[in-house]
Amino acid sequence: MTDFDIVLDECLQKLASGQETIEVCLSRFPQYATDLKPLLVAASQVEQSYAAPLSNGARARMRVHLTAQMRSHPHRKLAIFWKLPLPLHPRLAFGLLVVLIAFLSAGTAFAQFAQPGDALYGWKRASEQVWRFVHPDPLEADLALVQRRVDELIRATSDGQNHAFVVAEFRLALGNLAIYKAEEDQLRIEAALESHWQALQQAGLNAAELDILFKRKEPQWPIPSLTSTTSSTDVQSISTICPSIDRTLPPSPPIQTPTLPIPTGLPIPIPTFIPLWTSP
Amino acid sequence: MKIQYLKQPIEDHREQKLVKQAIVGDVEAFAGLYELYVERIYRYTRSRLGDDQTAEDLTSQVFLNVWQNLDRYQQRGIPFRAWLFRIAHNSVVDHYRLQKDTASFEEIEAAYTPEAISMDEITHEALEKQRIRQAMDHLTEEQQQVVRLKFIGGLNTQETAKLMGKHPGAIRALQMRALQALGKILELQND
Repeated sequence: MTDFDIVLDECLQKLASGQETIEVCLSRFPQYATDLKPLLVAASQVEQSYAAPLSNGARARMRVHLTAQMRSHPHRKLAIFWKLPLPLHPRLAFGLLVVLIAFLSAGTAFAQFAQPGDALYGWKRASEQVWRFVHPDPLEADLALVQRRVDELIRATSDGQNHAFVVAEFRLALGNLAIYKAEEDQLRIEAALESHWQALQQAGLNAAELDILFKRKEPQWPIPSLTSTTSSTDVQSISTICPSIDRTLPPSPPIQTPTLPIPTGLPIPIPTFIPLWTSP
Repeated sequence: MKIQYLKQPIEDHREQKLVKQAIVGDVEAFAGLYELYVERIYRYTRSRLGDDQTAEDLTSQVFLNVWQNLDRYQQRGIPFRAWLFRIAHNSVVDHYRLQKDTASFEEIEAAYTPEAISMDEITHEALEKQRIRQAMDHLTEEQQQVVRLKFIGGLNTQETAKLMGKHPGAIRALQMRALQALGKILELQND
């Protein structure tokens, strides 16, 4: 860019706005006058040659035509989002945020159907922890989570799935109830667990299985699938959590004894009963 | 030489007020914008098409497009006038493209060449106009565009730069070269 470009542009601007004539402009820049003059004249000639004033008739005709077209093509309304007076980058970020929120919402909703062992089960548990954290009544939240674990157990039973992980999750949820020591809390827990007991019984679990599940009766051997995945927090027995439940539940059936010949000299205890849900 | 000055630029404040009102659907405000710019757009489209009737139709189409897309203008970040002329430019390009699809090149050229002047118009003034339009044909496409936008459409350098996606310095250079070329061609024609 040279000074001459700028001088020429300034002169053209002044001419366009009617502030100066060609002569005045040339007198302001005498050193450029010789070069400027033919260019300013050419510019004015171009403007004159294309000056085509609209006649009133043409103007009216065009306006009528446009009005008719505007009626048949109404003003387009964009989404409110695009009307936000934000520059482009914040709007892009806002758009991505909306997409992210939509994805998280859809994913969280879909994850609620996941069973233990599924890919989305971690997402489900994470969303439950968030929900538990913000819930105004922690006990109600924990009871609701136990209810979810019971539902998973029933579903796994009916589908014939591997129960080990499901049982571990159930007992983790039970372990969370151990922190509630108040009498009224105990009553709520008792009522809820009774209901779960019956629901699981109706789903096909026998009394021995329920005893072990609720820790009423410890199995006489370690259950690998449970002990390996169960943390130290879930070792609270149901009698610790809810001592009165023993009074309301039916008596346990006698423990079955194997009829097969028992080899002697084995280094580990011989199991007398293998719960169904620990089978691989 | 008698010089006819270009019209004084429209006050930006008034224009912005009308644009804001038109965006929310105010038909009267849009009519105000129409009155402000219809003549400039008509001149511009006529300079590209050379035919009064087609220029009238295309000018109406330009304003209809503007009306339909006003909501989008907010996010452009360019002056309204530049946006308006961009729509006009695109409408002209679309018009030629449509014509190419439906007619032969010779037919289009015969119908729309700016030199198509009837015998009645052959006066001294008409010949002078024809001479300048012929000189314009010798300019490059970009130079022609700068000349049309600045001296026919009445845009300033910044608005022209925004519309063409160039730096104002590049527009000033194009403008200078275009006027130098026109000056030489007109001088040769006079000889």
